[in-house]
Order: sequence, then structure tokens, then C-alpha cells
Amino acid sequence: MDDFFGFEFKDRNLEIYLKKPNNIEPQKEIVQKIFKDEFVYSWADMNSSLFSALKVERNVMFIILSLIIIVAAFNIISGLTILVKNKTRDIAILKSIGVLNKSIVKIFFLIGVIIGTSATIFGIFLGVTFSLYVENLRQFLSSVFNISLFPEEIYFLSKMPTEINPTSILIISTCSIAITVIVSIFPAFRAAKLDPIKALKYE
Amino acid sequence: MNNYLEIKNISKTFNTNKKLRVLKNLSYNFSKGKIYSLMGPSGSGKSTLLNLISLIDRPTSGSINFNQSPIDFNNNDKNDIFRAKKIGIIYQQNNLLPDFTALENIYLASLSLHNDKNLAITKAKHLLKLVDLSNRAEHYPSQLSGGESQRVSIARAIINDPEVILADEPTGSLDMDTAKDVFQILKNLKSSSRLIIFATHNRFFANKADCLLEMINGSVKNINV
Repeated sequence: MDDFFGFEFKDRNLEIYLKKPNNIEPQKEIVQKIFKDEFVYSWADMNSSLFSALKVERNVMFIILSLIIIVAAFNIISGLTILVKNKTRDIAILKSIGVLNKSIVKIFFLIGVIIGTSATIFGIFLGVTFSLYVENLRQFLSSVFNISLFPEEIYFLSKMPTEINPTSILIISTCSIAITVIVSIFPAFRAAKLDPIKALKYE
Repeated sequence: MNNYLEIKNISKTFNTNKKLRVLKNLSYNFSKGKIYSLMGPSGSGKSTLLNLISLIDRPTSGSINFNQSPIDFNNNDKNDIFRAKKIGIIYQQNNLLPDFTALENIYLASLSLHNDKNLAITKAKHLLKLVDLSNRAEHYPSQLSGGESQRVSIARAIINDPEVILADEPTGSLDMDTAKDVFQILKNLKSSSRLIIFATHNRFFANKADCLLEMINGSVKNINV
């Protein structure tokens, strides 16, 4: 073969195709162990600049989404604080009939948790639906606004790729609910600390 | 029971722009089985005294004993439970929760204490019958007249069968006929195991009490017994 193509030993290349190319790094290490003196590189190494750009994009998206979650958490805090303010007189009445502080904390804490949990469930539903129909949506928007969204010549993909990862959904929803639970505590305790005398006199 | 509620040298000062001393070393003993009326001009300290007795507010100095046990005003949780069990409060503005029906407003006090909804509803329905408002159970406070709201407020105050009923001008915002009806309901609650104290500006109702107390300059003066 070498004689036929006029190759020398140093010009020899070996290409290996995998059935599952996503998990390339461990496979690369195995090949490297077999051919210790050879230079082994994967498809990821060949397109390293593209993948590092995608990695940066992914990190930036993570930061942006984290900021959105923080803003949403502050929305819950401000919403509950306004609710506590609006319900000051009612809280004072409850206290005057002997309702315990811990019950008042429970009421406002549960409101926060219910808002957070229902919003998380709604968000998962919306996100999964969006992921399932993102290509249809892209085509629809492209045709309506006559613009090229996700152009094939730039992204090398004929349609917008999506992946629904149950583990990611579980982690994100758990974090969202946990954040909601944490941010609901402050307004709930604020409600319980209200002075019923001031509330009944001035409300 | 004599001297069920003992008030000893109670003072209350409000720190607003300048110090306002509303109650000055006030002492008085209240007994069960009697109705006390508190009279006095606005700002004489009637509501402040009732707020102290109901343990919603704390005195600047002095002590309050219930059944010879002193109240620790730093122990809010214990006082909340005591208030829920032993004290019923009726305000001039009925102070019903606007988002709840008449029935719900009444049974909430029992539900928070006993955590038994069925028991609370049964008691609330019985009390609605007692104040002649069975047909208004599912009505919201905005759908009730002033007199009806006040009767719901009385029912709420007595759902836990309190030993002390405190009423802060319960007939103050009602016309005379309605006020008489409401006062009669309040008077019917008198029993040997219960102490009722109400503040009023109305001499007619004040005279119907067993003891008429007049508040002047932060002190209390017994007019008749």
C-alpha cells in the first residue's frame, strides 16, 4: 500500500470511526495507549476553536440564565413583601384572635413555595414543549419575518438541534424550588414580626 | 372568682415626637361573673388598657396577673396561646377578614387553636345560630350590615369559650336599635365563669354594666359596683 501510493512510514495515517462519537476523549486515550509513539487527535481537537467558542457561549448562557433566576427570586421576595404589606391588617386580626406566629410564617412561606413550585412546573412544561417544537418555531419565524434564523452555512446543521436531558431538568427544577423556599423565608418571618397594635391602628 | 384579673401599677408610655404617658400606675382587680364598662374621653387610655389586658401590647411598667399567675410579656408564643384560649376580643370596626365568609371568619379562631376543622365548623354554625345569622354563613363581610358584622365578630370572639371578653366600643359605629341588639348579645354572654369588659362612650350602655369604671388622666375610678 505504501509503495502503491508512494508513502513512507512517517506519512502513515490511521482513521478510526466510532459508532458513538460523542464520548470521544476516553476512546482517544485508549488509542493513545495502543499507539504510544503516534500523534492521536480527535474530531474535537480538529475543530477546537469552534468547540471552545461553543463552550464560551454555553458558559455565558449559564451566567445569563443564573441572573434570570436571581431576578425571578427577587421578584418572589418583592411580591411576597407587597403581599405582607397589603395583608398587614389581616395579619394583625389573626394575631388578635390568637393565631400563633409560626402559623403566620407557615401561611406566607407556603404561598412562596406554591408560587415557586407551580412556576417551576409551568417552566418545565414550557421548556420541554419549546425544545420539542423548536425547529417548527424556527421555520415559522423565518417565514413570517423573512429572515434566516440559525443559517445552515454558519452552523453546519440543517435543523436546530435540541436535547431533552431529564437529569438537567431534575437539577434545574430542584435548584429553582430550593431558591424559592429560601427566598420565601424572609417575607414570612417579616409577616410574623408585625406589631398588631400598629397594624390595627394605622391600617 | 374574685380578683381573677389583677392589674398592678400599670403604666404605658408611647414614644412618639414627645413622650405620651397614657396610663399612670393604674391598679384594679376584675372579678369573674361581672360585666365592667370603661368610660372616658378619647385618649383617656381605654383602648390601651384593653390592648394590655388582651396581651397584644406590653406595659412600660407594672404587671398583670390572670388567676394569680403573672404574665411574662416577653413570651409571645405563650401569650398568643393564652389569648387564643382565654380571651375573646371585639373591636369597634368589626375587623373581620374580608376574603373569608362569615362562617370562615368565626371558625378560624377555633381552627388555629384546636387544628380540627370539623369541630371548628360545627361550633361556628352553632354560634351563627346563637347570633341569629345562620342564613348569612356564606356571606362575605362586605355583604353584611354593620350590625351583622358585629354579631359575627362577637361569635368569633366566643368560639373558644373564653374566660375574658374584651370589647372596644362594640356599639360605637352602630345605630341605637342595632347597638341595643348587639349589646344584648354581649350581655347574654355573662356567666359566673366569665369576665366581660367593654369600653364605650355611651352612658346608656355603660350604666347597664355591673361596674362602671371611668378613666381619667390614665387612672381608673370606680363609679359604682
